[in-house]
Amino acid sequence: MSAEDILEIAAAHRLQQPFGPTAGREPLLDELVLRLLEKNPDMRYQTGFIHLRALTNFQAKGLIHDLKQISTRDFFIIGSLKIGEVDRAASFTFPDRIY
Amino acid sequence: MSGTDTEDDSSPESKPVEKRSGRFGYTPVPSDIGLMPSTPDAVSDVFGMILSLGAVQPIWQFNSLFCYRGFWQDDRTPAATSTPAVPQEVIITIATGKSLAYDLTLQIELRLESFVTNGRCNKIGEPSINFSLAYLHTGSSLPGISHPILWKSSPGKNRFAIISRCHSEERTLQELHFSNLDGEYRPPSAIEVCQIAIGVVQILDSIHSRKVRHGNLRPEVINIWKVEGEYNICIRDFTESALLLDRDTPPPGSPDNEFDESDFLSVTPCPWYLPPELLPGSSDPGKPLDKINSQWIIVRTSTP
Repeated sequence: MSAEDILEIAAAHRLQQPFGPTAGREPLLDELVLRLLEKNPDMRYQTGFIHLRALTNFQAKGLIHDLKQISTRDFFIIGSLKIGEVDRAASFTFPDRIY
Repeated sequence: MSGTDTEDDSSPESKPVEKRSGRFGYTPVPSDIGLMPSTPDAVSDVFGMILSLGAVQPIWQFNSLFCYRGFWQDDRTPAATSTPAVPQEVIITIATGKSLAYDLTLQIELRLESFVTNGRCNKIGEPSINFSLAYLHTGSSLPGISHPILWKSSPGKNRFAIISRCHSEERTLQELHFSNLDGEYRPPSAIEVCQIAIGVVQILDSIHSRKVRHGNLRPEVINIWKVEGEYNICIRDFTESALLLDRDTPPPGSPDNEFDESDFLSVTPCPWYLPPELLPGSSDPGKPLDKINSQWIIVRTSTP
């Protein structure tokens, strides 16, 4: 997107939907980035790494998990990978909005 | 850590030290430092000017990001140090903006000062050795630093440091967008993007878990270099950062009256990398405190 001032940037941020940065060449990466860029914070990754350390015995979750899976380039891993599948909040939280 | 009493001057000319609270709360620096102006309000301006000329002692160069916005205090007394061996792997999170960070910054400075002033700098005061994790490892006094937001750990071969000066061969994420670490133009591969992103996320997770928010993360402040094929990541420029203090359990050294929620709203980070809910005019102020502000991470590097 392009914008002249901060208000335009803000409007574009809120309204324009981004596209996958690799234009489909790396669909999983595109999906991951678009998840990061979700307008609604609750739709983004909720966990990184440290938050769940105590619960999962250092097993990576959420964003780190997906990044590691993609970086393996293992066909079988990537073939079964669903972006955001192992992402969950470390504690129960109410969503910001009521639908 | 901040217990040094500097207000015991009994001369008639001495005036009570004015201590301002708020975002850039500070205590005036002692006059014998020399480089400091007498009026605290001018600290940041003078520092900016001096640092831009490079005509300062190296230690001030190292402090540039810490002091540039007037972050300073007059407590130069480090905490008691009594620790022995240099850890092999250290994760250091340094941020400025609140009194906790003042203390940590101060201690790091004092321990690095001996190295910086021992001739390991070039003519203009730039450190001639790697001012990075490896450099910190050489500092035998590093283990003496203890602080709530200083984390020592053994995370494996990927080690990350968050300091203001980095490796001499570093490239920023923004530069990496135009050419790779070998200087050739090549869009980063998906694997490289993921490797870099993992490092950045781990750093962010680390600092967020310590209630520190960078506040102005952007490609220009993410420095990357390779050591033996491994990416090392360094996030710098914590001038907009804020310690996200818990009202119920304020950390030691951080009086409640120094915490002002408007601090977080007053930052002016680069809007391109802010999530929508934090942009001006947003009706939803967001709740970034315990979440990864993931909007910032790999947007640029993954663009072909």
